Amino acid sequence: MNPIDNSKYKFLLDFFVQREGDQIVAELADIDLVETGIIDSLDILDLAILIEKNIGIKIDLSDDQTFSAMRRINSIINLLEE
Amino acid sequence: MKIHHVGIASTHLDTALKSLMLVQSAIIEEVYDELQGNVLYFIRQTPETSIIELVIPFRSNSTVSNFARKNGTALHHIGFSTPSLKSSIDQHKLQEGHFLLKEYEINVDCFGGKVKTVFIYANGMLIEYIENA
Repeated sequence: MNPIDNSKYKFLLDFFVQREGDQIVAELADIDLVETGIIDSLDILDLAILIEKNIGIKIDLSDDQTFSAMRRINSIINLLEE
Repeated sequence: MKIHHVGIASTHLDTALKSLMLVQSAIIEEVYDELQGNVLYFIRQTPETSIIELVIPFRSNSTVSNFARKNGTALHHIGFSTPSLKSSIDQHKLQEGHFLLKEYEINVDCFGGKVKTVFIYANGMLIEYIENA
């Protein structure tokens, strides 16, 4: 199962569908969200707020590796599963 | 809390100056920030006014390049003077929607030389604290 299909993380899928439309679903698991211009560094911060609001996890964005992990949906989910 | 500067991001210096109706001679200092991939241009029109920091990316993976591409010339952050970075961080860190980002040391003459700064994201607003500036 694609981790993004997990209902716990549906809010992440909704975030990207709302911005990019339904076509984003097919490619979301494979792309670098920053490199493709879908999000910028401030959007990463908004994503962190969204995550905190939805599942109560505060991501440590002062850590370079964690910040980089926010560029890909699968690595975001890995962070949340740790 | 005193506003120290406003940070405005843009794709190009000329675009930013035109948007703000400023001329190149208004720039009092230029700092090449290799770490973040930006050139910082500082503008202060009189000693009494706050500083404007123009943040212009020089590489595609800079911290502001996507932001500038999407928003054009736009407010990126507000800088506040603080006597203590630590106390400013402490005020924010337990708040919902507030995230501590990076701490930096940067050498900017118009900030008073080498200063410590920290970025905090507070529910949609990017804030920079500058210690003892």
